[in-house]
Amino acid sequence: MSTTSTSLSSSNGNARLTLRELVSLSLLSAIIIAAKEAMSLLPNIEPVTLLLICITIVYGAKAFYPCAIFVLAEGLIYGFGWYFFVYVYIWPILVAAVLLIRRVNTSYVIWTVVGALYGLLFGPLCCIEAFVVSGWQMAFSYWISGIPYDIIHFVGNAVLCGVLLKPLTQLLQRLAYPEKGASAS
Amino acid sequence: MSSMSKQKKTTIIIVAVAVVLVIAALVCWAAFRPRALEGVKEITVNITHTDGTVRSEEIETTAEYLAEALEPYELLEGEDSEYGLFVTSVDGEYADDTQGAYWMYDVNGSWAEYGVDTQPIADGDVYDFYISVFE
Repeated sequence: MSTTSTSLSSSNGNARLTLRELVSLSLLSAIIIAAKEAMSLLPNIEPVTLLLICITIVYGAKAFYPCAIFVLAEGLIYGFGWYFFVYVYIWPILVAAVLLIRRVNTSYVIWTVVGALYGLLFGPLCCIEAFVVSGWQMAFSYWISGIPYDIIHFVGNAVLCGVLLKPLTQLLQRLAYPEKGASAS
Repeated sequence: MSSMSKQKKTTIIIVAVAVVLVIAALVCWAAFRPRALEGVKEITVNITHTDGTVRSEEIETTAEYLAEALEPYELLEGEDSEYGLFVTSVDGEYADDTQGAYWMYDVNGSWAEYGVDTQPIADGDVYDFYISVFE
């Protein structure tokens, strides 16, 4: 098994959670929330994309659990305002996209680009709500206003995923499914 | 070997797509971003509170953007967000976004398309601030 690929990573494929997965995914949810809050002072430099990609690579569709817990926690922390409804669809879209790409991709370079592109597309995805509520003109203005922040998001995600995704995914794979990790090392 | 080169090819294509998308975003930003005017401008700012009282200010300013012009009056409070300053309070009245209440503003009678810190101002502009509640 090459250390430059993610091909070994997968959950057990069973829809039901094992006790180990239940505990691990709960702790990972807490880590996402804590990491996000710890980095919230930096505009659009966030660890959530990195962590959700990493968790989805390792746990597959079960990554929707920490994703849902994170979204709910954000609602509880910041209130169930308009941003909450953006979060309700925007983070599951990332998990769903990674699940689809995961079928064909084993390269960390591509995962880094996926994370970076998600940062770039975060603004336009946020505008879906503005489009529904206020029409395309408002959505377009929102998107244009946010482009510099989308570029920061793109660069931030590229750096975080480029540096941390590979070691974090390999570590999580070993911790989550040691029986698979042992045979791969 | 062929799967290796296929993977390499895919990587190059995806990286190229990413670069093209970033360039496209930057081109859109350059073409459509709000542009500011230099020089002295006179603007009117009306703030309608929920109790019906209205505060009006005639402002002469060399600022290029609305938030900057309002700074000496300390009218706006808010948080930095992805889209710039997210206004939570105007002239001391707080809008509770968890209850769907937001401070909005019109520019010369039409809905503002930009946030207060990216709204370019022009001589004679009239800005109307008010609270809207979205159910």
